[in-house]
Amino acid sequence: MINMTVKKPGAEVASIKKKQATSLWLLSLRRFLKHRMAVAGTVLMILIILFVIGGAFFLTEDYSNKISLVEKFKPPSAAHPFGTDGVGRDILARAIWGGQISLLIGVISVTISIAVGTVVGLVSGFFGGWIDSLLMRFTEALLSIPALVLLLLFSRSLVGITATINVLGREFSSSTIFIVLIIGLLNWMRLARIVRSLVLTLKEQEFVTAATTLGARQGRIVFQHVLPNCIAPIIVTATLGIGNAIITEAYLSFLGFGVLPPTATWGNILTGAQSQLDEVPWVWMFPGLLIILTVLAINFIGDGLRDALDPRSTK
Amino acid sequence: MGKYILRRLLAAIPLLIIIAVFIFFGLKISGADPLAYLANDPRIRPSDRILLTARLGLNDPVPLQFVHWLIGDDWYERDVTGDGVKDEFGTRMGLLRGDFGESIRYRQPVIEIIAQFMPNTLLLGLTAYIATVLISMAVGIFAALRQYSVADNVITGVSFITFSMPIFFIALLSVQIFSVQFKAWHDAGASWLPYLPVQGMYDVRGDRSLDELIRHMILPVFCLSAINIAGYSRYIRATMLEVISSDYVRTARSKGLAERRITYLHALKNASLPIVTLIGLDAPFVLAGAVVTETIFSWPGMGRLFIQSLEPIDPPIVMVFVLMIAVAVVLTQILIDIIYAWLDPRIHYT
Repeated sequence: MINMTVKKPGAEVASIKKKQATSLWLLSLRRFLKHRMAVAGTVLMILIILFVIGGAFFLTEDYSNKISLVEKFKPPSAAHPFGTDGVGRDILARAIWGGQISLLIGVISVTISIAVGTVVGLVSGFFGGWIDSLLMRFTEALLSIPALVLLLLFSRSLVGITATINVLGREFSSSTIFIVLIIGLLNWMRLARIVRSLVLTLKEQEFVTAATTLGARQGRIVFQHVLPNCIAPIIVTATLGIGNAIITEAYLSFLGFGVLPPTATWGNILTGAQSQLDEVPWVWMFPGLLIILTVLAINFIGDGLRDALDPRSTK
Repeated sequence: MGKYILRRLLAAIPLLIIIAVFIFFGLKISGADPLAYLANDPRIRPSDRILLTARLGLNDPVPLQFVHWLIGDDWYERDVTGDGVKDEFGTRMGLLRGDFGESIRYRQPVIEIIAQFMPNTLLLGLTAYIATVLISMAVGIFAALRQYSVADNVITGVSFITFSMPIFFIALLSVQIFSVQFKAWHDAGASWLPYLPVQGMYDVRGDRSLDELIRHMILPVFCLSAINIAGYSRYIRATMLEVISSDYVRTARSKGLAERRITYLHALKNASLPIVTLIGLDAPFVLAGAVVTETIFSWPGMGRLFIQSLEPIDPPIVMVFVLMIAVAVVLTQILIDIIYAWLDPRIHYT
């Protein structure tokens, strides 16, 4: 059976108009919402954020740092749903307060590495010449060393930092700041390369030539014309980078080169029990699961964003 | 081709110099005290420390120390007694003249120490690596040939979760199951149930047999390969899917070739191009030893040596360790390009 539908001319015009009104961002948002895993990841991420922020209203930070040696290595019970660690601190409370720090470390260090990576990539790609050679050799040099080795090398100097600082009424171990800086400053290389290669193709395109012909200054061309076209890969790299940074902090803390007590992170909750990890599974199980769920959620979101922000995507 | 390789090798020299400078000055800035090992040694008097500091050249200006590390200090006369009179020459030959320095902790040439730990890391790393490549190839191709089937979806799900796991979580979980829990069941009566050891390469009072070594390797190899298998198999699935839908594969199929032949001969060869890159990027890092895995399983390899050389710091070991990996990375990248030219005749290097 042949099914012919005759559209009224007016209806067609209306649908075209509707399409024109859809911005690029709205289109991307629609594609993102169609990506089931990405939506699941977003929901999971919101739940985790609610857990680390909401939980703080029920259990105070003082409680999370309260040492009680009689209670050490108690398995999960009604009083301590996640059990207690080697000095009797409640792991649930530490997972809540430590989660805030872990997520913060992820977000701030990624902000740093995105800033550095973008600037290096833009400068290198746009100006070329000896600046490009120098920056890219340095990038390559850093990429030739395993990330964890590089991070350990620099975070070893944190050992013995016991000072605390006061931010917004909360006491932080000052090693937190150093860890954020170290992770941020040693993770920009891949993004720099991505941005550079994008800039190399972008700067040959007509709209850049047009802008140059119109007399736009180089700074304006870089930030107004080239940078906006690099936004999609930057957002994707940033998202996935947060998960990576959280895992990195956990590795460093696990090996004893991370954030130092009293500040808790998901990573350093399990360091206290290094020698007896196989006897006290709850000490690493709960923070470990939180790390996995967070990274999983972030990876799903990143995957969804990659599809959603791809301008060639027709979904 | 020969000219191309030579040019690449020459281009690698500035790269290695940048790395050496970066790490050397990084260590200096981080305020690492190379004599920290001696601090706890009661036999060392403070006067010995001062003498040793001078002898090791730690009082020299930092750039000069770097030069000494690179080309030796046997031509440089310095004042070790602190009386303002230069009184002895250095003894080091420097990296470029084949002297990799002496470990402060072990009081042994670095090269000997590395020779001692390296085989263990290679044993563990290469086994895990070969397992990773073989298993992920099998899983990736399997999943690609059954795109969107139940099996494919399950593989996708499992690899996504595994990929999000920190390696220590996999390690601790597998220890908990295969060592602690299995031993508990074993002791509770199920004596047929084997349980796996988690410490070192051999049992404490074992016979150091091959069988014993293999039992000790199972868990670390599993942990080392699990995450990589998850990542690689996804990648192989993606490249296989891309190649399978290409025109020349359809041509091969329409010629009536066996499906098996198409998959493994026609498709896999082109699909393996990006895989070679992936393998090449990761392979040299085997040398670094899996820092985390070796620490958890007390495996006497390079990763553990590195961790132990960090605090208190043992600069000669750290420097050689990092440079060794960098050299391996550079050489593998050249090797990848050569393999590329062999796999893809369209690529020419001049």
